Amino acid sequence: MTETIFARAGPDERARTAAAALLVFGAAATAGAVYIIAVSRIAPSPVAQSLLTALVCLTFVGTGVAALRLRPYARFGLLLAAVGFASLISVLHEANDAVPYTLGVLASNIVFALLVHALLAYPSGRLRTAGERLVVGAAYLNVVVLQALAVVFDPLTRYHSAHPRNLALIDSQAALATGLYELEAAIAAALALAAIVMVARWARAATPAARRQQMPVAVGGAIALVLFSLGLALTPVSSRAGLIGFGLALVAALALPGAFLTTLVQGRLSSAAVGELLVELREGGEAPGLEDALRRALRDPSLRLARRTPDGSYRDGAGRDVSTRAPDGSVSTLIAHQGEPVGMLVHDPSLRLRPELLEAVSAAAGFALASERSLETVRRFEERNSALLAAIPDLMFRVSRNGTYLDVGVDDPSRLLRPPEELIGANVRDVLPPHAAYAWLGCLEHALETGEMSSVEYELEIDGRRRCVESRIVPSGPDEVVSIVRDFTDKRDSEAELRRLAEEQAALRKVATLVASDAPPEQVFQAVTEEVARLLGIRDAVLERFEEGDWATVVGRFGERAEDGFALGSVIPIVEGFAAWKIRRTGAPANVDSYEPFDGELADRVRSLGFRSTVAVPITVAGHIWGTLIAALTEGESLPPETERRMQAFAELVGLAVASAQAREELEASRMRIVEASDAERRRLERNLHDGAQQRLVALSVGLRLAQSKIRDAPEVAAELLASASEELAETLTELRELAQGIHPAVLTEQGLAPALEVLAARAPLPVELDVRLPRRLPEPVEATAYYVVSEALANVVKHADACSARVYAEHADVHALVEVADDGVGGADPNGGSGLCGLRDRVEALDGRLVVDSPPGHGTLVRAELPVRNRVGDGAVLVP
Amino acid sequence: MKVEHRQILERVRPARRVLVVDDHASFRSCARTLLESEGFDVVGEAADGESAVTLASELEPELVLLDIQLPDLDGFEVAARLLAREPTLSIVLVSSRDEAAYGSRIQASGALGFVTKGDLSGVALERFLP
Repeated sequence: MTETIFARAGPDERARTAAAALLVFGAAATAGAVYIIAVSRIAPSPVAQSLLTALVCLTFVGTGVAALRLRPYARFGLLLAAVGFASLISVLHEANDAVPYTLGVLASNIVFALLVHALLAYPSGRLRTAGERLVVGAAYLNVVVLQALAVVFDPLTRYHSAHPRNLALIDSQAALATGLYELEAAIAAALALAAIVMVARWARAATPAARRQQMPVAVGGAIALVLFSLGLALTPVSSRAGLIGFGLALVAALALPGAFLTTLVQGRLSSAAVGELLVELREGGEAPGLEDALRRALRDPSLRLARRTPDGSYRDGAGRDVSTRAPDGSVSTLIAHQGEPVGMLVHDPSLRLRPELLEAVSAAAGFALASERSLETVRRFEERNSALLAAIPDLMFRVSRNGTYLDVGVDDPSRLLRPPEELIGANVRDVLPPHAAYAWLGCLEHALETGEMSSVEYELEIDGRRRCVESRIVPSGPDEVVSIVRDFTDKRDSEAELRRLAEEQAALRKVATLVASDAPPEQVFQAVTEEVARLLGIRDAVLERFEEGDWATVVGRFGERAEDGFALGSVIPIVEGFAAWKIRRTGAPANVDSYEPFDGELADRVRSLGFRSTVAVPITVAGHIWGTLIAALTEGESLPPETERRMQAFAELVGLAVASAQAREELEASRMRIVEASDAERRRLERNLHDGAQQRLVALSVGLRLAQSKIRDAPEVAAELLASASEELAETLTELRELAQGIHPAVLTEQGLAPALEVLAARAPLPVELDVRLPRRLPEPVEATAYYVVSEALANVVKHADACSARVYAEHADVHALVEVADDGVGGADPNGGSGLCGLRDRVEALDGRLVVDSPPGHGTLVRAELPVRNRVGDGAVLVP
Repeated sequence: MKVEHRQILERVRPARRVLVVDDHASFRSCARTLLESEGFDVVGEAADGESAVTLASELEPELVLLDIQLPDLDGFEVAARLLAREPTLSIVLVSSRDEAAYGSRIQASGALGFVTKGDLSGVALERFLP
């Protein structure tokens, strides 16, 4: 069973008074008893009897009084005192007067019952079980009722002839009285035995500490009870023997107060142990040490100390929760400090009988645990502070109101402007540069006035490097501050780099957007020079396009002196050694560190404009060096890191813009040529129709009308006119057929490319070998283009090649159609010359195809057209297998 | 009716002197045959603008049948030069295109009128003549 008690304070004032009164009463009673013995006529050995009586009575009463002053033992104290007083009753046997004598005889055995009571109630004074209460009640009844019954029939003549008379005698029946005495003695012996058994069982079940404490009591008490029973049994036989038995029993019963006194002395020793404990605790002990000290102080090796955890549970040194489960039989005592529970003692229940000790030890343990807890808090706080300080790679200064350095904290003294020993005692005004010192002291004043943190940023030169630092100043006393100095140069640099990158990306995006939106190249050139100058933080940037010979044209220009000799549109020479010259030769970025070594008009002009040096990157279009982007620096200007890389990115965009513009121009020119060719074709058709068929039809119309007018008057003339008209009509039809054939050959539309090529070959005025591999029809635009390529090429062979024969090849392979016309003529045709070839190229390229003309002089001419074969369905381009 | 008209004309006055200007020989031949059959006197033919101006000053025709589309000068310019020298000269413009193809240029040319080649006849010309 586990129960928790609070240690409480000891004696109160009332107990003290009662104890004093008992002591006085005990002394008086003892004195009375000694007097009775002294004046007795029948006492056999008055001196020995007086001494024994005084010893027994005073020992019991004294011990009882001592116990009375300690609250948990007060009841037991009273019992002891009662035993003391009861021991005096036997003295009344020696009284000369009949009244005290009769009372003494009636009450002579009460001391036996009291002894049984005291023995079973040791040491609390309370009976614990019903059995104990039964035994004690029976003992009282036995010694009072049976004794009284025996006395009223006992003439008491067997003791002494001089005995006073038995005033309680009703009827003198000695045999009955003796029987009753023997019955009383037998019952007493049985009760004594029962009490001894109970004490023995109790002692066996007790904790070691309790057993150690109770053993003398149990042994002494048992002997006393046995002797007393023996005395009772002998009394009817020999009153002297009975008295001796009683006397010896009382002497043995002295073990009771003796054992109790020993316990008290041990309590004193434990108090001393508490003193030692406090000394130990003051010296500072670890947890196991504290528990051992408590065990020593309380003389309880089984004691366990539990600490209160933040969640309210109690855990011992091994981490076990003892608040919910403690070993059987043990009890727990809460340990409080300043009203707050801080821990728990799990200990032997016998310690409950020594609450003052428990209280003292608990208080000491409370103090120790609280102190342990405070120490832990402080240790954690210190750890946190240390960690914080270690984590802040900053300088710390303590500075007085007038700016004198009082203290300095730094892990690396090289970060200081002066060594720490020189710094302490120096003034901020003498250490920091004037502007920084001024700002710093202003900040210090502000912090001291407002009591709040203030901060200031300034720049310092440390080891030749410019550093940006921030000082945060907080008041640390009425006339001093603590300043934490943080170097944020690296952070600022990385932020600046990030910003630069972001600006570069934004500038590139801006230019790229222009390029993507097909803005005029001039606009792109201008934007590039402007963005490059702005990004590099310089005033002048130039974009030059290389021209034929050693010349370049300024096509982009940004700068304050944009109207100078390098104005937009101006043509400038490419001078040997200049950046543009190097780039044109190497195609790699180039720079000029100084224009001083150069002679000539351009160098003079550059110098007169204040340009000191240049960095230039090439602009490449379709693999050719197209021009250069130049960053021009004046005196005092410097370029950021990776200037060339940054400029290169812009140069690539320029290249892209130029290539895109060129492609666009070529496309537009091609479209224009197609439109023009188409217009020319239409004009040719109109002319052909006008000059040919139309004129013939007009003539026909006039002739028919004339014939009509001649039919009646001159029928023969009319017949001639009609015959002529008929011929005219036939020729007109032929002419129209040929014209239609020229516009679009019907055979191509109706039968496809292969038969159309056969017709072309057949009509050619020279032998044409035909090799056509077209398993199926091609899309119409491809067929038409392939046809005109062959038609035009054969026409050129006839007109210009002076060839003996030609060969036509056509095939449809994969996703391309290929047509070739080769001749064995003179060659030397200009691939770009002549409107015929140019028109063919436009037509082929309009279908994303490619026209190749290979015409080495003297080795014939080869015209080859490759045409992608696609079948347009919706938006997707589906390949025709 | 046309015959009567022509006969009346033939009776009352001599045949009109006509210069035919056209770069197509077949048309010039047809025009000569047609006009002569209708009582006109084709005094000459010219195949281009310059020849037309020269022949007009040499032959002094009453009427110039002038094709608008000529290889050197166009018909309007030839008309302007002819009229500059002989303001009373009667000029009738012809073309295988219709009148609308030339907009207001025909009216501004100083010519008496315009006839499409397919509609050419003596009667058509007479309508414009005084």
